[in-house]
Amino acid sequence: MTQTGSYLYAIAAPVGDDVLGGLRGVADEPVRAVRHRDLVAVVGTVDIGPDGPFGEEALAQNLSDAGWLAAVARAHHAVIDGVARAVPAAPLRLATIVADDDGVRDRLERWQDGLRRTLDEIAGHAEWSVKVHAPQPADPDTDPQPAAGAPGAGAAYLLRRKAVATARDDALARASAVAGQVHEELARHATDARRLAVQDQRLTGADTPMSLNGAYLVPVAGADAFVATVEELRERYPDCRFELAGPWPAYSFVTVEEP
Amino acid sequence: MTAPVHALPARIDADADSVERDLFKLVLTVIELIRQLMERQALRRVDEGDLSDAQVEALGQALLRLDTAMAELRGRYGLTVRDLDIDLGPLGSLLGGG
Amino acid sequence: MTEGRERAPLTRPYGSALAAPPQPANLADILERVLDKGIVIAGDIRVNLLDIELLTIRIRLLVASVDKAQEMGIDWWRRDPMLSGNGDRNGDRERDDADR
Repeated sequence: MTQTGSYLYAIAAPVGDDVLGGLRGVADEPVRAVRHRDLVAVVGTVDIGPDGPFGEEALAQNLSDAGWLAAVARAHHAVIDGVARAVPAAPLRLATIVADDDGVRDRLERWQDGLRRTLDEIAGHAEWSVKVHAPQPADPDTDPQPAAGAPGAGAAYLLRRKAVATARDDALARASAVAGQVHEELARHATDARRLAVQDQRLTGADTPMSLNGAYLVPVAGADAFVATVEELRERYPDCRFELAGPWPAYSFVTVEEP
Repeated sequence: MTAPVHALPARIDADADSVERDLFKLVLTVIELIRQLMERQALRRVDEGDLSDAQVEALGQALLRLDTAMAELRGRYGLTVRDLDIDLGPLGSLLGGG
Repeated sequence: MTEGRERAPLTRPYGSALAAPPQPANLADILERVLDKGIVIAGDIRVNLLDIELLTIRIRLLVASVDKAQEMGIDWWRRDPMLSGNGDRNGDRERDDADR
């Protein structure tokens, strides 16, 4: 038996079919606007029956499947991004599903006042991401090392390990200080700023740990200045690696958390 | 509404080589953790200055041998120290990225 | 540039004034924003012996984040009185939780 639900992508200011017509959702379904008063929910219809990918059991399994999760997350993001490029939009978390469009309208009614206000706040803004990675620790000693058993090799080994540990600590302390300064500086150029948890090193594939994972809500008109500031900071701290990404929907500032 | 029949769990990797490698990796992770703790302890003792030169040398020799042996063992499966780390979520990583 | 905060700004999107084309965001960035902040999907040590999972740290980590996501919405329709069919349309959520 097929059972469908309304998958929510974003709550937004009214948005035209010309925008939505070009978008496809997480199940490659067309997306549509459910309007209630002066907000719309951007939704798609997905199969939540026992055999559908968004059915209770299947969803739990699918979410553990990194490949599936990646594809769905990208599709989810693509819809939100498409909408947010046209109108102010508050994203919803992945796989937020309600029974039908009446349920969607219930939520819109409940969220109306708060969302109207936050959408006003983020209107004309985009989110930018700035990440800072710690510098490479200084390599204290690359001389050939005496093998175990050679006289003095033991003490030399301990000294070397000590130097390595010190260099690493220094690099991390430096990274942490730079992260604080960078965030403070960028926050001055942003309407709102947030430090997200740093990403795991194996996730980033970077050589050194991340010390800043900042999200900045930047006015569209100030975007160029913001990017220029990042470039300045990059030059001021040449030993740290900077990553700048954006513009994005204001995920870190208006994502609808509460179901 | 019947649940789909799962004859087998969804995640199965019965490949013998892979099992061996995974187990090997797990064992090495535990050894690496202990090795790092020992090394940290040794460095602290040396810093405190209450060891004789001979004791420092002996400690260093032991740790150096262990380090060499670990490198050799990792090499068998092409593992790096970083491969041995385990992410503990909110607790950070087991080997502290070291 | 924050002028007109009253009503009009709803017509101002973020993309219109930007010449730059959308850049493909990297997956980690997307996941931490759409699923859970600070999600960890690496952490890959897994030992499987036939059908016995000795150690499934990778899976556990994913599920830890998924649980968070469930709190936020994935689980939502299960509690939804309209969908689970036990309750009226405007039933409050406390009661729905008690139902489960």
